Amino acid sequence: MNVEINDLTRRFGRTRAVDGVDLRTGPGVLGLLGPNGAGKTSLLRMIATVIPPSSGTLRLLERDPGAAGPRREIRRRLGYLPQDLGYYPGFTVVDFVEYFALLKEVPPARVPAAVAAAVERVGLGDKAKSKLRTLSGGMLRRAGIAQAIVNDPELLLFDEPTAGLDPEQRVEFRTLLRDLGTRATVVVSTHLVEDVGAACGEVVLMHQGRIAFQGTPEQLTARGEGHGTGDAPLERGYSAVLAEARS
Amino acid sequence: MGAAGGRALRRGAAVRLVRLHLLSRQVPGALLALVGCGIALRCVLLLHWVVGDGAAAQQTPLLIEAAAASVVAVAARNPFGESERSTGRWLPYLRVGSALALTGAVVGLLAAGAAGAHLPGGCWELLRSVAGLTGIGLLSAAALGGAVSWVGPLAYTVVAEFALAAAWRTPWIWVTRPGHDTGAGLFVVLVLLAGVVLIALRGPRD
Amino acid sequence: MSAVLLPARAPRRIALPGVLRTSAGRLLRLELRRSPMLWILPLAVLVFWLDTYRSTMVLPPLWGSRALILRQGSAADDFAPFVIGAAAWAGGRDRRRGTDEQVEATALPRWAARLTTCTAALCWALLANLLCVAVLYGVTAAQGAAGRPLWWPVAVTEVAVLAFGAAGFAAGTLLPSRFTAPLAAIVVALMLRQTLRSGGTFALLSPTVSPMYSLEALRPDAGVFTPYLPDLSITRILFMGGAAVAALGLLGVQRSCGAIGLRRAAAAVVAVGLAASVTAAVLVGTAKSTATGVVVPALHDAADDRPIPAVLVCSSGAVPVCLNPVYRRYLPAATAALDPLRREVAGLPGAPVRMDQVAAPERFPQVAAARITGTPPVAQVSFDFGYDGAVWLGPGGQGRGCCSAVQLWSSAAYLHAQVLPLVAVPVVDGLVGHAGPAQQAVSEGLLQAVGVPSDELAVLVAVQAAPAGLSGPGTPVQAAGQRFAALPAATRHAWLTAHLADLRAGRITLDQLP
Repeated sequence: MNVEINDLTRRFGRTRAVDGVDLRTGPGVLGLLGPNGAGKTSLLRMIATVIPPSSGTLRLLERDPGAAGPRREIRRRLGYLPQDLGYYPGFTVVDFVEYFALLKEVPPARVPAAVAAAVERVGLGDKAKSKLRTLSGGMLRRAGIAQAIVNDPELLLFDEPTAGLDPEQRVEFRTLLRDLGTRATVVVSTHLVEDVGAACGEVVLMHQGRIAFQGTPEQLTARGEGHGTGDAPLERGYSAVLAEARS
Repeated sequence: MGAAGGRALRRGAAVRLVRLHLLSRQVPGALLALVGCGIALRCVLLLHWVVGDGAAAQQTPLLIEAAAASVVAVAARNPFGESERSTGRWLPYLRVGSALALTGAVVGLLAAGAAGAHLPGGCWELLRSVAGLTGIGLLSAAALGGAVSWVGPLAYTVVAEFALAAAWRTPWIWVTRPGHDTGAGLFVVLVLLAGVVLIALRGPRD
Repeated sequence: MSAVLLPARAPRRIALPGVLRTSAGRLLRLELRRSPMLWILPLAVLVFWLDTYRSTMVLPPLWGSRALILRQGSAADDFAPFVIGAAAWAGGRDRRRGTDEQVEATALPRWAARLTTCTAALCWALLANLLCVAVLYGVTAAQGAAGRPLWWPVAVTEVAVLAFGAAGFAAGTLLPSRFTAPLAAIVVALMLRQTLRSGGTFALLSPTVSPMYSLEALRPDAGVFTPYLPDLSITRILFMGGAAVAALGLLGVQRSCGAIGLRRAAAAVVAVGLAASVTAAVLVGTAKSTATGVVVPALHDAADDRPIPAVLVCSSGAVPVCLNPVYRRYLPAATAALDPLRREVAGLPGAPVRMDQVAAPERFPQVAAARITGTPPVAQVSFDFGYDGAVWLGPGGQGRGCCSAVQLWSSAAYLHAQVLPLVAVPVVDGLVGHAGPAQQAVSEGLLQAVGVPSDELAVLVAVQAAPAGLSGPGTPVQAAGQRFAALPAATRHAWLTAHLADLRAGRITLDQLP
């Protein structure tokens, strides 16, 4: 299991953003769904070792991220695209991705090839030498994805990765996700159920910091049969589970 | 990716990493600002704004040292946010390296600015002040965030100016003590050490 | 028993002023809530307490004295770096957060949006500074301070805070860099330090003033004997207000700020602000420094030169000491300090019949001074009740004298040592003269009898260039003086009553002295 979570809780003041979550997942793509404020991003940030949990246990890549040595090892094998991508506008796309490749300790000899591959995989090959300040929002998002995958991570975390991407890019990104999921554990937090349906083998639906549903997209779809609202079967499953959780 | 292979950075890659890190921290801009501080100190000395060794004479260089320390602290700001914080082991070294390199540049540039002129307390007190103020700046960066870390050195300087005028003699306001004072020196070392350790391990607050 | 259902109580809402309920007001309210000034200002308040408040509170509870530190620009100086830094930080906000285009794309002109953000920052800065000054004045009033509060220094301080804030905001907006805020704060602090140590005419425009260097006389009796001269305050307000207006205008001149008409209006505002500042600079160039303050001819009101009529309050007994009613509380101390002198000279021909307090003629007044004038003769005495040195070095510092003003005027020993000699020497000299050896001997003897030690007399003569002659040690003059001082008081008084006219006329020789 690449991600093992037991009774994980994260508080911000009096608010319990994540409230007693249990989760285990191995290689494959896991979709993290839920309404705004459900705790998806907080859970993702804990898995990204950026914030510590308030209580509970968390093991990533069979290591404890609470200890400095194992955390360092996890981070070398981790890719993370946060919801708010920070960037230095003066960097080119290559500078940006290369910087993260070096920080993630990609072997130096492999850095140019890894950077080029990552940039190509997100379709920014023709913009490789462009400054980040000149890119559109969607392109910036793709540059962010490139930095996340540049070290060929074993654990990959995407927070709203398709926000700002055009339909063609979204389709390509789903293909990329499926490809990455064959070797690594990919956790994708999103509002877009069609992304989940198209790319994820497993779905977790969060509501008020807890897991309201865990299963395959097909199981989620089944939960919506005869219930729920929405245009697509998965959307109906999503709204049915949420309605049940709220009742 | 082999773990062993990843741990050793080749020289070229290390240089590239350092270069990119420094660029992302706007170190070239910071160096330009520090050159400005050195020139300002030179002008202040040439225009005889600093006369003698008294409290008034110490205040002007202290302000310029605070400006330089603020630049070092502000340059600690992380523009990448959490993407960078979730990366490997080099980040603490890069943070410390850039902070100390800029501190060294401050000392060098201010010493060059004061070369051949009378600076109250001389280069030793300059080094002490820059180290202490930088330590305070780095602590502020860790506590308040890189971008507003200038508040720490500024507040300390304003209090220190008052302490100089009121002839306080406390080690934590090191400017009120002579250059060879052990207590003040120890305090400065502690502040710088705390700032450097905190910025290395925790980084500036986002 | 039947339960009575009470209607649910509506949540209590604070009524907002009308202006804050308009859309511009709501925008201002939002800006007020998120202004970075709000969390940086506590540092400025802390420094104000450390510096201005503590330094002021050790001065005597007289309005003239308690306004001295404020007049030196301390309150503005304490706030300046923080206000500039925070304002510059607020000015660069849109660029820093990448919201500049979002704001630009709204219907509200960019200039108006910037002015709202700036206004919010300035409101907090002004409010904090005003509260600090209000506490300082409030405590002073609660201590029963005599005299009248001075409001011009308060106005100058507030306009200075406004100008610093506006300039910082303009710097942050026009030069949005992470280094702008600290560098702007330090550059202005450096400039203030330098104007503080500059004695030039144009340095008078700075809100920070040092009594050591400035052409402005910082007298604690300002507003007591003559009205407080507002000329320099008005000039400073014009200068800094102009700078503030120009800075606010600069926020609207960029291409992104809107239509050409609006940008022209902003440019006109800049021009008006600069014109005001230049006018102030021209005015200050004509300024003349006087003991009562700086006179700017174009702004000067001749009525301000007329003394404020006051009925002096006097002590009882021979040669009463009379003080301006503002200093009523010091009458017992001043009377006690001068008692030995009063006893020695009372009733002598030509001796002062009264000691009236007047304003000190010098720019840097001594703790006390005196001269005899008029018929019948009256000793015009000046006392520095409110200030203990040319340069105030904070609560622990000492100026020219032995101690703080409060300590001095409440200690008999200090008064005897510090005040009595400064009055006794000119009074005795005026009474006896020092042209011949006999006069010198009697003067010395009389002063010794009053209680002025000969070694201190030597220092006084050297420092003040006092008119009294001074004999060398072991000379016949000194011996005669010591002999005269050793006489019983009644004998001495009787001899002086009989021979003072001859002594002054030079008709008595050293040998004829008792």
